[in-house]
Amino acid sequence: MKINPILKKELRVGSRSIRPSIALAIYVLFLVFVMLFSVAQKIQDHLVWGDRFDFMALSDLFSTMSLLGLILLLVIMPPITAGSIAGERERSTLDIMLSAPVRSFTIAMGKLLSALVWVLMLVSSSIPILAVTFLYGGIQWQYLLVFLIMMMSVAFFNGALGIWCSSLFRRTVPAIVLTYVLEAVFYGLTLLIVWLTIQFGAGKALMEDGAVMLGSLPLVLLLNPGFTFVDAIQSAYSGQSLMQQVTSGEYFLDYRYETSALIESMSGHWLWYGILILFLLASLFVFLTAFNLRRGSEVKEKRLRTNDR
Amino acid sequence: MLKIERLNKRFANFTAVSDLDLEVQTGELFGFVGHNGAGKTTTLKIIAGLLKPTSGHVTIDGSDLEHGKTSYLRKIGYVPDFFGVYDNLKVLEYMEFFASMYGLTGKESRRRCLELLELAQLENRPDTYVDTLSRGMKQKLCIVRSLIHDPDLLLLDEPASGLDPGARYDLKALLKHLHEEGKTILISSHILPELSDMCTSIGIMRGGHLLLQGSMEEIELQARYDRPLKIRVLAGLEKVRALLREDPQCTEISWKGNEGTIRYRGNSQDAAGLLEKIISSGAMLESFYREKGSLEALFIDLTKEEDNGQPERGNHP
Ligand SMILES: Nc1ncnc2c1ncn2[C@@H]1O[C@H](COP(=O)(O)OP(=O)(O)OP(=O)(O)O)[C@@H](O)[C@H]1O
Ligand SMILES: [Mg+2]
Repeated sequence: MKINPILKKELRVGSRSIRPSIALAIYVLFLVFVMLFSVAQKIQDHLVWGDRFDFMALSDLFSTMSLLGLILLLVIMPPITAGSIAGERERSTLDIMLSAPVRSFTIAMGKLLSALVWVLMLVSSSIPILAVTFLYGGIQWQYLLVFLIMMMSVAFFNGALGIWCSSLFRRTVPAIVLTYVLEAVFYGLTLLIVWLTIQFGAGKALMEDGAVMLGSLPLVLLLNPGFTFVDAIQSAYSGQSLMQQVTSGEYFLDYRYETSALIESMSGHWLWYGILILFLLASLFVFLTAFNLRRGSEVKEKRLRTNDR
Repeated sequence: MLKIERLNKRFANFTAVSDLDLEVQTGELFGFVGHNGAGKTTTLKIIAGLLKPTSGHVTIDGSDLEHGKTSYLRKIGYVPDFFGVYDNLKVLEYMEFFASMYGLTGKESRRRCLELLELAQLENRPDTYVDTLSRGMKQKLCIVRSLIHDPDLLLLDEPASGLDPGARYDLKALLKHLHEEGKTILISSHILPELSDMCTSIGIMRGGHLLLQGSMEEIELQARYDRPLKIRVLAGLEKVRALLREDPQCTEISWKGNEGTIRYRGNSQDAAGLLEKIISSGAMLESFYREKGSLEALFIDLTKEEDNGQPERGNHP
């Protein structure tokens, strides 16, 4: 298969521009800093109690650190992806590309893949940092692998989202803003809805010593790649997914829950449903991007004109 | 070569192109003139397949976008009204990138790109970053970039805007060269005289309509620009004056010695008849010609009518 020409160009241009390197540096430095801080904290805790320091304690850090990696990714990616289409439009190079017999899907994929290559660099550079948590008893490669795979899957989702937002605008700034807003919807709002439901149901549940009624609501969490990410890490660690713990009828995060039969039947394979939805959404964004590439210049042109004059 | 039929393009609440009919023959260098907002860019974008027409049809050598999009797109080279350049790409890489859009890679691509850079006189600077080139060089680069797949039809949107006279001269030379090589070229501009010494045909647009279309010569006639007749008499001045006074087509006559300037409403045929009468009357003329109208004046004259609220002229005589 021939290498996607847009990917090739993007990698070349990307390797020469400073922005991705800065973002990479920020990411790594932040992780290193937090890691050092947490390790220092742990050691100090142990010293207070006069224990010998047990390196085992560090392994708790793995899920915290990987979650931090995810959050950093959410913060860092939008500015990188937002320029991908909007920037080409700004320069009118998009028009040139589209006047060639190249499929808009190819353009969208080229952009997405180049973002993924960059994220792969980012994630690989964070693996040594995460490996520190395995100081005791050797590196657990399977966790790192899960982390790598899940980071790339989330990046696929975020990249597709960012590129779609980028295809809606002629300027990068509104594209960045929209990407953050949509991230907040997918990662934050879904979680917030479930959390609020739990809070509201909790009082009643406590009085009656019953369970918090969630019904089919946990389905919205399928839209949250962050939940899927945490679920995957958790499953790797404890062999039990978060949703299984929710549906188990045992106490989990202070409460017991009651869910619909649908959720119960799904809970065993929750992670896979999550990943499936994640990829479906991401593919949808890619196709919407391709569609916008063809159609988008109509509506957006006016924006440029009114802005410029 | 290029045939546009009944083309309409409406944006949300604005008609940018209305009922445009246009035909460009193979080998022509067609100038597309009109001032800001006339609809030139919109038309070129529709031809390049970047905008969908609201209605109407564009064909190039019989093929169109619905049937055989690839072969249609391969026939055109499009240069947009802004330079499409990247910050971090070198001249040769830039060319090779767009070559790869047409499936050209490797040695073949390299050869073709170098060949084209030579045409743009950029062969010595393949490693210069594109954004550091001068405007003139960028524009030439953009034009040769559009030639990468050896298209038959070039669409150039205001290629000369923002260039200094030297760069304009270079650009013209390049376009003339391409024209001589047999490319059909459609070039837009808002300055008619800029195109006049280069184009074979011209279309004048205003408010989405094509006011006039034809060869340079025809345009001048169709515009019924009343250029005065100039006459220089060697002998028999009185006879000539009398004849002119009799001619119903002569409206205003002014004399400066033996040189007359006549506002003449008749067409070329009438003028020829007048000349014959004068000659056969025995007068001797040194010259008798219609003054070449300034294209600038013609253009301004044509396009300002909108403001005067005068009725429009049809597209064709
Ligand atoms: N995407 C759009 N949405 C709405 N109106 C548009 C759009 N694109 C162009 N127009 C309008 O259509 C008209 C024709 O625009 P066009 O760019 O074709 O003119 P032009 O002849 O190329 O002018 P210029 O000399 O400024 O380049 C303008 O009035 C413009 O405002
Ligand atoms: Mg224009």
